[in-house]
Amino acid sequence: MEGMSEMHHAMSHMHHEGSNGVVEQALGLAGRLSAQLLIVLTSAPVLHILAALVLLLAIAALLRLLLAGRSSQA
Amino acid sequence: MTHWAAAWAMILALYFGLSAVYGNGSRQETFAAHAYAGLTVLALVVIRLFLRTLLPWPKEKNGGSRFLQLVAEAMHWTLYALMLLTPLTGWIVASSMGCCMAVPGLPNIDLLGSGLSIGRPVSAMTAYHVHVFFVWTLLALIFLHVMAALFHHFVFRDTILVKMISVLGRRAGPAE
Repeated sequence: MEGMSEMHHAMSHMHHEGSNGVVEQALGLAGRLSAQLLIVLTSAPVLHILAALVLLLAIAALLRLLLAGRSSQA
Repeated sequence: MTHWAAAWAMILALYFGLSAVYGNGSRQETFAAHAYAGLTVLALVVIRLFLRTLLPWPKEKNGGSRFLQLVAEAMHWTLYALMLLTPLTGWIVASSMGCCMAVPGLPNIDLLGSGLSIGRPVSAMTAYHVHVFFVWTLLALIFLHVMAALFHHFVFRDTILVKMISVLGRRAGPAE
């Protein structure tokens, strides 16, 4: 157990030293931003508004088809 | 018409947004003006998408390759998505700041569809970070959009910019 604890300590020390690198900082930022994007895009307000928009565009597409059918009959 | 109205509304939203964060004046009034300008962008992009679906939309034949046409198409749809999502994330932030930065007349977005069980609530800080990220991405895309329009005018020498700015058409005479 003591050996494991020492290894864990050494590993966390190595991780701490490495986390100052630009690449790790950029990866951390990108990861955080991706997580935040995912949370916001699947949130209730965004999904409700997007669902309403899809419904509105479906109505517009239906109206377009109806109008095209009527003008071809005339 | 919706193109230029949305462009002006975005300029106003950016001006009021930056003034609300960095300016010295009344933050609450500036924040409300920012919110109204942003909601105008949201309304205009919804109207534009509705009209694009309802009416036959003119397809421009330009001098670019198939790859450039694909890039232009992808950029337009990304712009539409950002013009929808940026005000929407701002609305989420404004709804959760009712205590200190209330926007008169703005409905609380968290109450929309509250009877439905899709999605989860989101924290104001998360929505704010995403809003700021969307704003800078939108600005970068608008810069590319303007550069592409100038490229069409001066390199491909087609009529896209002339059709978008009627004053140019009048000065240059009727387009061929």
